[in-house]
Amino acid sequence: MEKEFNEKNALQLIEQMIGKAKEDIQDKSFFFLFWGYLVFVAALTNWFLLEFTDFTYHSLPWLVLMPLGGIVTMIVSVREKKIQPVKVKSYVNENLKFVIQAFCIAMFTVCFCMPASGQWQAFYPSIMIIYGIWLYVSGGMLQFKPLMYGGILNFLLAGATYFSSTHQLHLLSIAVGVLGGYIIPGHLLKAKYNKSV
Amino acid sequence: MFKELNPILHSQLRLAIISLLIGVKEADFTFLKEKTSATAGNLSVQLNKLKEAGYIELEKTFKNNYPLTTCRITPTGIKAFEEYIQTLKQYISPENEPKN
Repeated sequence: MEKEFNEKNALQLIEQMIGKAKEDIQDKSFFFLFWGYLVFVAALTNWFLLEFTDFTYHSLPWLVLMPLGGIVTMIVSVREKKIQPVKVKSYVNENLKFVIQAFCIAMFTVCFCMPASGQWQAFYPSIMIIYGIWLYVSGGMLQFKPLMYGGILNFLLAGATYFSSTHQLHLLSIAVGVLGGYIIPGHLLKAKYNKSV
Repeated sequence: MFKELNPILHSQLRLAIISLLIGVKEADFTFLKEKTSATAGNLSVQLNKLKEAGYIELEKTFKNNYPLTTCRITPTGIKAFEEYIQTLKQYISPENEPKN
């Protein structure tokens, strides 16, 4: 490996190695798609039950799908770590962990405190603000614009739904928010990853 | 008169290691071995040379009963790499190209 190593070779090698370190991007689309579809289905089912049936427990889809999502996320995360042990820690991945932690704490606070204090009016818009922050920040860190646009869409929808008083409209807004913020960017992220490998 | 290139970094494998570590927080031995296509023995020797120069830190632990060596670049290593790049620029700048 040491033969005829001159200045030009050195520069090429640096470029090549920096490129190789970048190449090692992980497929991060699974959780965006999984949670995107889960929230999308929960919101639309809740909306359907409210709009077209007299079913009392119209929030049931959330109560079933969200804990289920949490369990699946935990199982998949543990399995991923076992199958693909982390060989390299990039600054982006490390910082994204802090963003995910902040996102989970904020979601937990809103999901438990707002309904308990009876502030249903601001519940879904607040969720969309948290979605927006998470999508905008992670999109910026991953240098992936569709996630940032998804974040902006969620901010706009949150702003609009603060002025709306119907539960049904809030549910449709959150469905549109996850479609534009999670599902579409999630598929684009997967396509980008598939192209890179 | 050109400044001399840092001999610790001006070696193909050591430069490859530092170039990989400059962009990441930390990387394990397997990652470096895969990316540099070096043999485990040679990689180990060069990692120790970089460690002795204070350019990288090595952390030896165990994971699932297998030894795990984690490498990260130090501030001294970052400074040395930046200086190496500056010196390299002198050598390859168009003004210094041989004229026909």
